[in-house]
Amino acid sequence: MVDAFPLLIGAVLANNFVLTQFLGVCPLFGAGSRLDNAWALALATAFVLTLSAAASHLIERFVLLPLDLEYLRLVAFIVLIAGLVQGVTFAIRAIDPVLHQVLGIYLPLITTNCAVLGVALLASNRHLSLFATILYALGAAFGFTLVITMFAALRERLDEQRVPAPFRGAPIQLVTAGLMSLAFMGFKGIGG
Amino acid sequence: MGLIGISVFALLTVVLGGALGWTERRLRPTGARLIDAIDLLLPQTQCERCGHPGCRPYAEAVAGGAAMNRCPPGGSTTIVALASLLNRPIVPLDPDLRPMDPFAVALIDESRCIGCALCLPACPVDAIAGAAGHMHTVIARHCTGCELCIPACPVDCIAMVAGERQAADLARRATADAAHAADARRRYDAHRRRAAAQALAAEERRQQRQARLSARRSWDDA
Repeated sequence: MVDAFPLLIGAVLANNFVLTQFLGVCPLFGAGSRLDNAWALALATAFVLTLSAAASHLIERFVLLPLDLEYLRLVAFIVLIAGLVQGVTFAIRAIDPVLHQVLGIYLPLITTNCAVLGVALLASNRHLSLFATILYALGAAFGFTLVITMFAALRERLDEQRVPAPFRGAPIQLVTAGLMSLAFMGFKGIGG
Repeated sequence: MGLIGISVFALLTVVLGGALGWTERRLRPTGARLIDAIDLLLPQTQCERCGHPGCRPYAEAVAGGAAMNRCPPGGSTTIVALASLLNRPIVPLDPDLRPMDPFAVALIDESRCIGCALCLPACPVDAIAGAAGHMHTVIARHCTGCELCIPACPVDCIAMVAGERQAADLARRATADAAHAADARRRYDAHRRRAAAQALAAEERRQQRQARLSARRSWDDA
């Protein structure tokens, strides 16, 4: 049993999924250079991430383990995540049709976000309890939201800058992400 | 062993599918939300091709069960999007409707414009600038290409030309169109509010005049 606080802080900073474990990098570049869109996408992903980690944990503990079906873990988690994402899509469409249209293709893409599956699998590998899993997922979700919004804010500024021609577009974004990653690597040693 | 795995997995997917179907039915937008959702999928040209006085009224009609294949500027894109929102089968565009180029804008031949101001109220998004007795011009940035000003002009000095939006490259067109549609929706709402306020003011003036007239008449009678 890992202590709760280091687990949470570790998932947010030291083991940040996007910048130190390089999971879920695609939405980092796909979320666009608008801070408000990135914010909405990050919140939706964070919600799915926490929910799916908890649901995966329950499925594994009460269905897969008792029936000795651990080999189904990966595919069961994927199906679960896909279902949750679809449910969240319906919810967003009902709550805010404008946001649903703005996010568009990025909503179903949460399904293939490696961070979502990664958190569920890593939590299961570390044999965390349900409480610890939720905490770990919350930390990962918070870290993901933090990085996505920070990166979108940076991109908003980058759009205003006079970037040298060969670096314009994707190259300068990759360089920026690399520098952010370096900064996050500096947290190594904090948390578990 | 394998059988248990298959049956457990099948059960999992069936339960998930059932839960999703139930959620979809519970959370499907209704009422004003549904009208908003339909309105968002319409191109906001306010061209009245569908027989309704603008996109919002058409969205209200579609939400009430009217045909959803009556939007020529939206074309197949709009029909497919509406079909998925409303759970209706995809049908081809109504062939009786006048086609429209959503990338064209109106241009006033300023040498022939007589300044009659008849095209101003005809424009659903207030994209024509001008005043009675003065030359008018179309603000191309706001024009939706609806062609509603063309029959209003008594000297036929308005023509449709390929707009500057045509020049936008494909990658930028999607966002440009979304921004343009949002702008057109806002301007259409403003236009309708102003028209309603003007109609109300005219009605009030008419009633006051009536009251004055009847007062004078009773004075004359006395």
